[in-house]
Amino acid sequence: MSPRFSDIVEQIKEKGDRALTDLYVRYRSEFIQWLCGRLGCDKELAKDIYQQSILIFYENIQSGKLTTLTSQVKTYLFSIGRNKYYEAVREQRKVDALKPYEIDEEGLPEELLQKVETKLEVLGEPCRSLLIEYYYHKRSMEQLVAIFDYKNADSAKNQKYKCLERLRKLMRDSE
Amino acid sequence: MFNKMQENLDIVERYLEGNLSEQERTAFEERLLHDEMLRLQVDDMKVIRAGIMLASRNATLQSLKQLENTLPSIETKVISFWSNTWLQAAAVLLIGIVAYVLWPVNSIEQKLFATHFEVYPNVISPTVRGGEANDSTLRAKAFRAYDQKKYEEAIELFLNISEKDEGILFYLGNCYLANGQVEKALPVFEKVLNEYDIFDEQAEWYLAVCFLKMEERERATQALKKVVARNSAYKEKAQTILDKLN
Repeated sequence: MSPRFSDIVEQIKEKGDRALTDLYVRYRSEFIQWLCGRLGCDKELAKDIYQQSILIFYENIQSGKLTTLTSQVKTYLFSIGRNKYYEAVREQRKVDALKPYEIDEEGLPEELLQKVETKLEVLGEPCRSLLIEYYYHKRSMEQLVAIFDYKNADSAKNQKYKCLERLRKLMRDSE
Repeated sequence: MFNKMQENLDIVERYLEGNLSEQERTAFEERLLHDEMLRLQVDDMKVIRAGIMLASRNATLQSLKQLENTLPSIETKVISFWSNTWLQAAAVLLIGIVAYVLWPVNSIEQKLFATHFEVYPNVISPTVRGGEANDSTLRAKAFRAYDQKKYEEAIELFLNISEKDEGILFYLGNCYLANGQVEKALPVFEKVLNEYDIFDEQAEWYLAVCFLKMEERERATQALKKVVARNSAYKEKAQTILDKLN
């Protein structure tokens, strides 16, 4: 009954993060009951850990790091969860201990990345969503055309370019 | 000029993704040595790409948290959740039937409007922070109301956002239109079309839809012709309506 890994990957390629709702609901109670019951985790922390585990699973698929899975999806999620839990325990159960894992190997300064996040808000819609869909959710130009009702891939690409240039300008303006 | 810059961006991105061939990469790195603007672009893009990833991750995490809040607490059986949803679905269906029966469909413009008007899908990713905290919350609430088709509530919320970008305005226009306030929708779409440039294709179409709703055949025809001329995603719909109008 549980979905195959390849089906989940396909869903994610097709729907991006919108595929996560089903996935999230599917393993949620089992995961949280297991973490609380078996490992004695606090329920709120268990929820945070579950959310992070789903996110890690998603990012690993999107980045191409995870292409095949020998175990079941559930087993994989649970093993991320267990590691995250031990990590949290080591760091004294603080939810903050659920640090974001590495995003860029070049060690760009955290403040600079946060500035991008702030400027993305200033940039406004639909630019913000367009960039997020493209870079994070790995949407193809064709998918962007469908999502945003653009004329064709070229016009989507054009918009993406404009949005990036605006963002660059925003980053510069307030230096 | 524009194309040249876009070409540059393409190669910069492929460079950063490690998608250049050995030969291309050598040539590109050679260029980097002499081209300061290009170096700047590479540095900017590194930061921007990583920043977007971080922002997206936070937004996605946030939407998972929002999802969590809508789910029954763990001890509760999933069944109650479903029965609730079915009830809601039944209610929506009932309202739909009542509305359909009572809806005064008279003119051809009204019929065409009813057939072709759909609110624009919510393609906006959830926000986390940044800007004014107040605005972020309002935004999130507004889009949630929009998703739930609570347009009156969404209008109220959208109006309260202090920094209204074209995205906010565009969705506000959609709310007005869905809420039957076409006279308010019209100026909003005009603003999106005239003062900004990202939602033009869409705003032009919705402007035409407004004229249909207002039974202004002449202006609707003009607007639809523009949609067709622009060759946008709405072209076929627009042509269908034009054929029926004339």
